Amino acid sequence: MPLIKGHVYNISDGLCMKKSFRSLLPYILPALLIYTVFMAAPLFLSMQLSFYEWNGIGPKNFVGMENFRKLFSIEPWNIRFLNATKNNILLFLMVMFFQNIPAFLLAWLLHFKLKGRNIFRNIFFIPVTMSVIMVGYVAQLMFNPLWGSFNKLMEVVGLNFLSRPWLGQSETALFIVALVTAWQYIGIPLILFLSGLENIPKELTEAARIDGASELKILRYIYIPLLAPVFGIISILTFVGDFTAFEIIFAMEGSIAGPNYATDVFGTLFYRTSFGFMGSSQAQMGLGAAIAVCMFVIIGGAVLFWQWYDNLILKNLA
Amino acid sequence: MKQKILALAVVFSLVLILTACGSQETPPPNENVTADNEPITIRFTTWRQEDVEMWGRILVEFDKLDTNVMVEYAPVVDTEYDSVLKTNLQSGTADEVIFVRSWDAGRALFDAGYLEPITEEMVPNINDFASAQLASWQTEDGKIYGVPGNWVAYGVLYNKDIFDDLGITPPATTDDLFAVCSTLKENGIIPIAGGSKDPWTLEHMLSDHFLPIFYDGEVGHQKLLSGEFLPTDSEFIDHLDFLLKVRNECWPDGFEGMGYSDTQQLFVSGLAGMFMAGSWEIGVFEGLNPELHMGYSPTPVLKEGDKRWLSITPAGAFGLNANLTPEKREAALVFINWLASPEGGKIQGDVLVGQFPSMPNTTPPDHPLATEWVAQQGDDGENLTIWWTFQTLNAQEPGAGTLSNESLQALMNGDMTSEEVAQHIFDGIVGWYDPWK
Repeated sequence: MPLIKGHVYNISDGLCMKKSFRSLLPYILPALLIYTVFMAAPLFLSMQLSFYEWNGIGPKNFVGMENFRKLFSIEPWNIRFLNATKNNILLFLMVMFFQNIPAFLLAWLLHFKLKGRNIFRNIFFIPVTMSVIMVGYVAQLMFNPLWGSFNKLMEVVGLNFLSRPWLGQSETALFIVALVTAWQYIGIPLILFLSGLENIPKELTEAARIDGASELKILRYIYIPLLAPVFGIISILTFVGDFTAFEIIFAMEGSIAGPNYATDVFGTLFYRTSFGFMGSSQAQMGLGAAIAVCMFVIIGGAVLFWQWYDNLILKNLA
Repeated sequence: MKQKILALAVVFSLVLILTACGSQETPPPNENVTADNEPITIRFTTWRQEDVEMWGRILVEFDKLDTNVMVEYAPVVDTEYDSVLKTNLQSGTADEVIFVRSWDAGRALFDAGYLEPITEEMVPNINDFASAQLASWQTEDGKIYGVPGNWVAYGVLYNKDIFDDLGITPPATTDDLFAVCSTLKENGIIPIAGGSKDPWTLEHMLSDHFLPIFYDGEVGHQKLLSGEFLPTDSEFIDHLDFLLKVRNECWPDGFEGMGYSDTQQLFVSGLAGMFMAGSWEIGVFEGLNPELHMGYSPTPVLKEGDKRWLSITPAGAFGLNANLTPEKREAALVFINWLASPEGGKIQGDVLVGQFPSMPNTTPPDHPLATEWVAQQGDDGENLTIWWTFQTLNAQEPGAGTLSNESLQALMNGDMTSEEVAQHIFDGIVGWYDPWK
């Protein structure tokens, strides 16, 4: 790429000149080193472990593709694996609906710069800073059938049919977990949407208002289309976050992810398979590594897909 | 040029930081000293984090002996104990005295070479231990890899005040049990504090507890291990039906959402009349509510005159880390020998109420409930029967633990029938357990 005098270089010039890259190296190297040692190397070692059978302390036995065969075609492991996949997808959809859509609407309300909006913005963000285990544990206390505040409140208001052992029934347990995690993390998409909204040029909205558009019309025709990239980022973050979810379920249902595996997701399946459970279920670290490899493929695949799609949009091809 | 120097400085300082983080901690100077009467500190790791205060008291007694051994109690929470221990063993940083889990879970440690076999030379009274206790930490060719520490048993704890107020007595038979439950219910008391949210409570406090009365205790247990008796037999299904009846007539509403600590709270707060208890609960409940007046009642039997089996398991044993320096090994053996002695056993039994010491020639614990409970084993331990999900049937996955956890919870939540549960357990274990084929 020839040097052109007076031209201001930017990213769309496809900047990648050798001289610049070398001078960047010392800044990249430390982080790259840490990343390799603590993230890339364990990842490869896990992949290697997935071809072995190991109980954590004894010898490792090479078993080839046996672990993957178990996960995909041998009971009960394939049932657990499919169940975890199903629960993860459900969790993702529920969180998208209960976290990201309300986050967007709240961001829209907050962007009007009404009095006290900074206070509300901070209040919505505070749960993000709380420990997941603590939130899960308090939520578990709240939904306790005998002395939980939620059931008591429902009874006081007269909605007795809503007073039930939420976390003990397989139909409702995952739903409650999704609500709790959505409540906790609503602050992040909120902040992203809010900054997105505030970055929309004022001229657009002013022009629309002069033309007589109502706020709802502005929302629909200006904000939503322009915020689509932000929504894309939030979707992929939610996807990665929910497919690696573990602590919230561990806090509310334990690593056994009851009732009857209704809240079992990849994270809890991996943990329980790898480490066993309280001395009554044996550790199978090779099988756990195989689960981890599958998780990596699924999540990595989704992210790559999103990057490719996003790239298409950037080039106006989609 | 300036950039190159800056780059080098950054990389150099980073390498420095990494090597500093990577180096091993050097031990403080006054450890590992072999001169006479210099104190040696050893650590004892266990999953009983709940017993920190009690072990503190036990170790005070050990200190009174004035040996040069200082012991640190280093527990890890139950659910993480196994993974932390394995990591430590592999990296060579494990503690000197290890509390070994019973049966297959502990066997794995020995097979991997991390525990030293215990001989009479090391612990002189090892062969005086009851064979039922040693069996849990013994290989087929007689190698012992743990000095039995304590054992726990199941029974019924009931609220004395409630029972006295209503003028009822603790149940002797299962029919009595349901009669007592309906009386309690009529008076607005939750009959039995139970719940299905934590499935291990169903495996332990219900199935392990009550199956013996259906299949004749240890007689039936041996038949189960040899394949003469299978989960698909009628007695097993009867015990599942019995559990369903307990759920219907004795459990609180909303039991699906009640976990282990919730049911404990129910009992200690006086809202429930009975608790299907492991003997370790004596100490726990007294700690939670010192005002509670508890009574112990042996497990109800099917018919008047049936043998009263005591369903137990050896809980943990003191294992010796196989990779120790000679000084540490000697220190660890001093500690283990004291633990195994009658005096050491008595102190453990008195302090850890409900965790019955396995040591031979120990006088019974001071606590009336514990004494009553232990006495249930009979003069020669002839009433003892081991929990069916613990011995042998848990050696591989899917094991009795996993299978009973998932199917019993499904049973209690109404997702599976008794026959389906029995079939599920059979199908899972027969895949790898030859005697059942």
